[in-house]
Amino acid sequence: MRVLVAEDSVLFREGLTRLLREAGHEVVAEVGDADALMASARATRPDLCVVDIRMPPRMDSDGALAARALRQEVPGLPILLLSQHIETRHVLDLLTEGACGYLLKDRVLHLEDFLDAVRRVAAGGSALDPEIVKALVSPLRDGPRLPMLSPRELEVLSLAAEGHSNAGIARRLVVSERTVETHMRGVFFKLGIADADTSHRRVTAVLVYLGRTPPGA
Amino acid sequence: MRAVTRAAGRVWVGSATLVAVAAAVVIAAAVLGPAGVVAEWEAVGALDLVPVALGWLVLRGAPTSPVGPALAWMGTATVTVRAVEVWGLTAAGPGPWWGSHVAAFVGPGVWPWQLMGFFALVLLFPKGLAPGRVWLAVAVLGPAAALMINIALAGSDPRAQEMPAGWRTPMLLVGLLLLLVALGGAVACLVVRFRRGDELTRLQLRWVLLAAASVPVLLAVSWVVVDLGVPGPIAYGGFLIGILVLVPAAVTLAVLRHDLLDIEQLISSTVAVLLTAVASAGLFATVVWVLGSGLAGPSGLGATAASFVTALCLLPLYHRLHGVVSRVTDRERTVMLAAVREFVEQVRDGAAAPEQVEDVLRVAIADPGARLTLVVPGTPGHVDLRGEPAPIATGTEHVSLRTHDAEVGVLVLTRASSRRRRLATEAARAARLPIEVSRLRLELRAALEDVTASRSRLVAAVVDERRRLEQDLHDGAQQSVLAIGMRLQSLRHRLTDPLLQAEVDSAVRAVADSVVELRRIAHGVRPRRLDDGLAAALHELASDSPVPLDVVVADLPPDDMLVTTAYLVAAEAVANAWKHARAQRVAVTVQRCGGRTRVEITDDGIGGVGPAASLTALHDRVASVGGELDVVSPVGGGTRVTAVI
Repeated sequence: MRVLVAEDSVLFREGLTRLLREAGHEVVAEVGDADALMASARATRPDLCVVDIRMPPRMDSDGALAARALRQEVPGLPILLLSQHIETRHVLDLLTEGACGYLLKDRVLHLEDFLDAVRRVAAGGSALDPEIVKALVSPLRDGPRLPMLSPRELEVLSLAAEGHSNAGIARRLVVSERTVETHMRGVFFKLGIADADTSHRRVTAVLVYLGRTPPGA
Repeated sequence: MRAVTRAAGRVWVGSATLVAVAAAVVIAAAVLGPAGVVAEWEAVGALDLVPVALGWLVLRGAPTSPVGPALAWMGTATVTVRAVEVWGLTAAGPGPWWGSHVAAFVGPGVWPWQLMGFFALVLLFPKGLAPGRVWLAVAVLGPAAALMINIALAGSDPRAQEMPAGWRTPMLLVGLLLLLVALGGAVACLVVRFRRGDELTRLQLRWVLLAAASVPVLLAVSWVVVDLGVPGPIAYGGFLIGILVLVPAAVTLAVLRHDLLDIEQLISSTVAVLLTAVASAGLFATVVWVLGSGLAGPSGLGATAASFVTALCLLPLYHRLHGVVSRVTDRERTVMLAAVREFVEQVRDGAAAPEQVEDVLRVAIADPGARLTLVVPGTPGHVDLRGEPAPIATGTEHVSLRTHDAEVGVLVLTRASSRRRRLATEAARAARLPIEVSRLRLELRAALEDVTASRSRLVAAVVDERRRLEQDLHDGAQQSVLAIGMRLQSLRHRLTDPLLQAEVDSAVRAVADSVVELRRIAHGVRPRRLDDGLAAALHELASDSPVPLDVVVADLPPDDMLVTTAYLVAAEAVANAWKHARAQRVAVTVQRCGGRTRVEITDDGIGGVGPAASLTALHDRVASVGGELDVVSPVGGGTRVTAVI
């Protein structure tokens, strides 16, 4: 897989590149700011961009903004966003479109999870860091306008939001896949999400649950 | 104007010549004339020259003023009358002078002309004859009466005690009556002038009044002294000095140097001293009489007791009389000081603000354009009572207000004379307390503003510092630790020994824990979620909360200091609720009302938080951005912490 790494911290970038290479991926470009990201993504057409959200020139959400711009130019370009801490501005829209992931940087220390997320996103799936899901899907976050999910449904939704398949969820919760499916249907029903067969329905569910209306829903 | 000056000059020159001739006649009569011409009077006669000389001074200083010639005429009148009388006396002697029988004929009735000098001075002072027919009539009446008396008495024997014969008697009586009327009219003229006059006129008239008031006193003293057997010319010397020196001198001062002394003070002090003297003499006499008649003790005891009583009463009596007299003689000053003192009382009672002192002074000194400026330490130049800079234009009249050797302020006047300045100084001195309080309040306000500004600068610096520290932790330390972790991962990849792999795995886990710990620390310094707004940060707080936490947050302006403070207050209060109040449920509400932000944290815990207990940090945090913290915590009834920022 051809990967582009956009990260301003040299130490982290080198470590990440090394890990990706050792995992058998080709790192086609390493860049340190948002402008270079745009330029080299256009030039190299990678299979996946790993992008730090916070990057020069403004040291704000420049990475996320550049990623959005790239998605406009190249629809469906898989992007894995990384950040030091949970930062949801300019990110949630992107997540609803699929082929997108958002992980905290410490996830690289859980190498298997990280490489799994890389593969999923490159294949057009999604990946959300469990920490981020936890922060977003807090049971106290809801207002009265949203239907209350049961604790189990919430658990299933959280895992789904992280990008796990029904089988993966079933394995983690030690239940049958059918039970997971039932819970997911309950979630979709309660959130009023149409039962269309798209792979991003799960992330959509999370976002609807967070009170954001994704495009087309 | 020049014609006036020239005419006045001529009057004076004429008078001076006449005085010189008359004086020569008097002196010649005394030296060469027959016995019976009283020589002692001649020392006194020299006094006649004083008004003439003063008239010349006034003529020099104020050429258009009629006062100069009037003074000259005053001296002329007295000395001429005396010359005529002395000349007449030679007729009875062995070698009568030429024409002395004419002088002897006119002589007995010539005395009223002596008064005409005063008469003219009083009518003309200070700016010529007052307009109006009445005063013209008075002016004509005086000389007419003098003429009538002169005619009625002409040729009579000055030593005879009976009335002149025939038609002369009614003529004399009418003449005397008219003279009295004319003199009364002249006095009335002074009174009317004082009533209607402007400030300057009043000031000048006060001088004349002071001197004129001394004349009857001196006359009374002369009578007493004559009674005691002192020879006439010496006894009447004081009186003559009063009338020929004091009054003309006062008139001269009034015209040329009316600002020389504080005349009102002088008048009231003089009158008060005189009244005190009279009153204490009365007291003395009364005590002596009471002791002498009632107790019939030894007379030495009476005098001693009277002295004692009088001495006891003297000072309070003087002060009381002085107060009463100044109220009468210098009403303006008394009213002014009373107004200022009343205001000072009100300020002391809290009924008036000290900053009103400028308005009060304006009214008190009758100067609506007056301005009070203050010198406040730490502020350059002068400022007004609101603390705005108030530079003093050069050339403005002002009085300086000082304590010790430092200037505390300036009262700028728009009406200036030395009397005005004196009044203003006195008023400002009386208003020292409110002026000083205003000044201190200004100083305090400036200092408070300084403190507030520096405190908010400090808070802003702390907020910045937290942000930078948090960034350093995230971008520096955390990235480095992550890089180490990745190197370890990489190393593990190349290892084949399962034991070593397990070792490295545990090192990687330790690194991961360190990263989590670093994030937690950075979060405590400043939650990064604050970048997404207070609501996001508080929701994150809620997600970490061990007890249910309800969060309702209004939109806040993007002010980092405000948002950070609100968050830290909420976080700390929520932490208190978990830790100390054993709360089951906590609610955080953030509202915007009227430009202020209200953060309210309520819990259902045990309550009973003392007013000062452990909330000092919260208090300081809220106060540091100029907010207020309120804690309501009944025992067993939960706690409500409200911060208004």
